[in-house]
Amino acid sequence: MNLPQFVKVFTSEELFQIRDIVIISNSFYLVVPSLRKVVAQMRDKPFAVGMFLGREEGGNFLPSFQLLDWIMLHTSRKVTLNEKTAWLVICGRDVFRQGILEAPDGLSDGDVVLLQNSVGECLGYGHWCAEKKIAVHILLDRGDFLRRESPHHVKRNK
Amino acid sequence: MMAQSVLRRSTGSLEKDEDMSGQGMLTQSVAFERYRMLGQEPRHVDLPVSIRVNTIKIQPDLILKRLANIGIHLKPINFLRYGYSVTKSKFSVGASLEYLLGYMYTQEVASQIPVQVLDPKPGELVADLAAAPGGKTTQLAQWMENKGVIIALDKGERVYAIKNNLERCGVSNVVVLKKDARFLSDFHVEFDRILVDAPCSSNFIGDSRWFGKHSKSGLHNRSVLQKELIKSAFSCLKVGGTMVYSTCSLEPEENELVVDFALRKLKGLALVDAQCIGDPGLTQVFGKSLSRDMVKCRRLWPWKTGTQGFFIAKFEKIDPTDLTKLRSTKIDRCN
Repeated sequence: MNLPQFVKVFTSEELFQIRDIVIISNSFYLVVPSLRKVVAQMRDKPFAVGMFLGREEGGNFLPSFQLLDWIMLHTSRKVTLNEKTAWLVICGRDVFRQGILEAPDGLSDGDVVLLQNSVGECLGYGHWCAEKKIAVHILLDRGDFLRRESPHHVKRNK
Repeated sequence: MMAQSVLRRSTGSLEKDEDMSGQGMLTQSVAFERYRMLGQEPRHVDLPVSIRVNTIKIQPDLILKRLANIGIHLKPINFLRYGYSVTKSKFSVGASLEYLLGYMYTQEVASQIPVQVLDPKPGELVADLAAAPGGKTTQLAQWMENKGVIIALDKGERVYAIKNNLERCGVSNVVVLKKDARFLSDFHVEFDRILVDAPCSSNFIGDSRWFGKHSKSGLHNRSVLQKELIKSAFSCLKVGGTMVYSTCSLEPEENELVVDFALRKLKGLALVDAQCIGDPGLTQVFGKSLSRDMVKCRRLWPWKTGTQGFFIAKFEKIDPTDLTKLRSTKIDRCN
């Protein structure tokens, strides 16, 4: 799945124009004209620019939280979690069925869903599991920001 | 002890070839004696945990209520726009959902001041030199309401941290470059404002292992880089533009002496009153007289402000052909 396909899973709205996307080292950024103008004047390749939308790794698109937060405003494909489960999610745990307060109808096994707490804040996203004790297998959660700071992750990023 | 014995505190000057002007390590006794020579009575200070509310994502009243509900109580810091100290907390603020959602940035009180002094506006073109890990970059974006352009440079591996913090805090108006900030002029653009939060030796309040890790020669070497950063920033600043130079060092070699160098060498650079907490900058440093304008800088002595040590200088770039303004900024030395 690429970036446009990922967005289309959640909404038919056109959130951005492809021409406003800049790709740097497999990472996708949304760049407004004022930023684009400055970047065009530079001989140096930026490390990052504008709004980070996500990156491609091994043919898979991995969204950023800036993108997920944005999509949250334009989709109904989100699962609402109770307080305890919301906390477990940001600790990287999968979601058990009893932790769900609300889920959209008609989800099939393997569907990608956003996860939110009771006040509508995006906690991450994952795969819906239709017939198991685990209801959502987590692909990304907010706790990732802490994990990224670990020495192992920093080394891997280099 | 030997170092102390060679000091001449009464005159505030140092004898030639003595330890303080040599290559000696800055042990606690040496460093404290230096501060005493600058008129201070140094002591250790415990710093409170402090945060900055990220108004790009949430308003202060909302986050305060939320945090109180989970047992984190905050008190506003009266000289900061969005700064709060943590008065009571059951757990680490940095491990809360609110932190992960980017509603706040854990940032020491004094380190929130330089951006407040620079005061960038929405729509401006701003440079942030030596920007990692991005605390001040996200603060600049907050002040600019995510509008305009910030160019953030850092030559180290910590640029990854800038990227992560921009994502977490919802910032979208920054260009991050892994580049030595001394080459800012490569961009051929002129900035409205520039923040030079220079790499420095830090201070013993912020680094418990500070003593014995730094030497006079180390300070000198670092000041060479700091002077180069100021020169680089000045060359890319618009006439009428503002630059803030700051360090978290207490050492005059990295602060007033760098500013004094800049005032002498860079025609059209003028100090502006920083208008923030702290003592005026020093006009006499170890027997050397500096510009009287140095009082427009601010020095945050931890034992006086209850913060980390900090130094802040605010500059304006004036037209070198404007004789009226130049006359008023002519360097007037203290005797």
